[in-house]
Amino acid sequence: MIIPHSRILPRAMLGSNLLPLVIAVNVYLASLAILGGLALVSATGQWSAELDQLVTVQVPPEAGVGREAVVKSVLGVLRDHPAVAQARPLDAAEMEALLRPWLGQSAVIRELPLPQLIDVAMRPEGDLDSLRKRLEAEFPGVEIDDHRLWRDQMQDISLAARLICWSLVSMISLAAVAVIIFATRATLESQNELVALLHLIGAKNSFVAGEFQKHFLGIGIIGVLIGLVPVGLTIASVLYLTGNDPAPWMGRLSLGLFDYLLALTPPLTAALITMLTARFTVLRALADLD
Amino acid sequence: MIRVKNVSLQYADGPEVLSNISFTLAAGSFHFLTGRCGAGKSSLLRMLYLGHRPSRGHMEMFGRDIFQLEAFELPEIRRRVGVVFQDFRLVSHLNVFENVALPLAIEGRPEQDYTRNVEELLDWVGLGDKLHQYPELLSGGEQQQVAIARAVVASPQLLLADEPTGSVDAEIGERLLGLLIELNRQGATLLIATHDTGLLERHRHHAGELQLEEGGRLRQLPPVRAKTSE
Repeated sequence: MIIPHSRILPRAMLGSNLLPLVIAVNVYLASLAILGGLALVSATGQWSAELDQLVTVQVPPEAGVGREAVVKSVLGVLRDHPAVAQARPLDAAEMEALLRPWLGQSAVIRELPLPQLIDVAMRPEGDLDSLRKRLEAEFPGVEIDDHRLWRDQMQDISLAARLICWSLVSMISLAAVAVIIFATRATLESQNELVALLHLIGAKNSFVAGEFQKHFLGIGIIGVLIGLVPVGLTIASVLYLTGNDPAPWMGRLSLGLFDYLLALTPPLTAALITMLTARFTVLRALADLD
Repeated sequence: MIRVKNVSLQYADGPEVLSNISFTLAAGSFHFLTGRCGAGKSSLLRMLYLGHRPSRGHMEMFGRDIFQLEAFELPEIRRRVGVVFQDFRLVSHLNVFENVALPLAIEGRPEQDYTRNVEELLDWVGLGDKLHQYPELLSGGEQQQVAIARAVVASPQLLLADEPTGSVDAEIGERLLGLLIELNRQGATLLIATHDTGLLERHRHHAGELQLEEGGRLRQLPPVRAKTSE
């Protein structure tokens, strides 16, 4: 790939400053922020979508010796109700598995007065309120948990993840623009004799700005190419980790092609931002010459 | 072509460097600009290449009133003026060819359009074998030749030279002056700022004189006709 360069500004400057490295770091950080944000949004979205269709019915332990019959009746009502797609009671092993993270492999679990939990998968347009009213009317003490609290928390986390992600990208972009303005002014300062000469022999401001624009586009492209290396390595690592025997939480961090393309936005726009920032900085400085 | 009437020039809030000066440079004319050091010769040249606009008066260049020009119109007027700066102002990171081609490059023309013209011009000034050398490797006279080539490459209508022979020996000075006079014969209006009285004496039979005096005033003198021997 040919790196654009100015015919008039010293070519040696192209690689002799640290700006490409600064752009590379910014590109990497911005891509990382977008990838992280997208993964969190994707995970919370999946959790939320799963919870949307699930409710849990609890038959309290107070039902005593007749609880088996109560559970059976509740299951009958659930399976006949038009809003319910599927209803399944959790067995003792599943209950133990749920409590194991808190109580460990203790035999105490089996002796605890636990409620009987029934997993209920709702139909997409199922009327939860009518189901709740019917169960409450026929089985006092039976509770329906629609996970609203969890769902609300997931939505809050998702919104927070988005906000943090875009704040990070904005801050990183702002920092990059500030550095580029500083570098452009420094270059302009170092080349002030050349700029003054061009001005006096009749160069239009747009020509001078165009030369700086080409120069900084070259720097931007070099920075992007450097930054793409860690971005690519990170994406490859995420793909590897999520593709080969992922951990349960990692399985949720699934990203689509569009997400990876979005993560490539910073590299693609960084060179453009560098070029345009340089152009406007130079035009503004040259406007004072006449 | 150039009409300056009752023009004054000052920098910021400083005193007037040029005060109420008037002169006319006809198309194709040749003038020397003289005056003691600090009299304002460089300031007058700077005013003519639009490096600094006059503070008051009337100034017309190529039929345009300078005071009426918008900023975006100035580059077009500047491109009609070729300048040989006293300190050459060659660009150290550009080679001889690139330095001379600069006025053509700023017009956005592709290099292949003017390569041959620039090479021929450098041949003409005697630097045809140094196209790819950088200024720091050239002698003072060669640098001056490059500066002259750059000033004329875009065929300017007005050619300004600030002490073009000041930093070279007499022989090279005469050769450089010969180049400028040749360009004047080809139609360019020529104004040379100098304090070299010998140079002035040798050429005043065909060159007028703008004489800067104390207080930033100016007198315009016509060429002095050579006396015929009896």
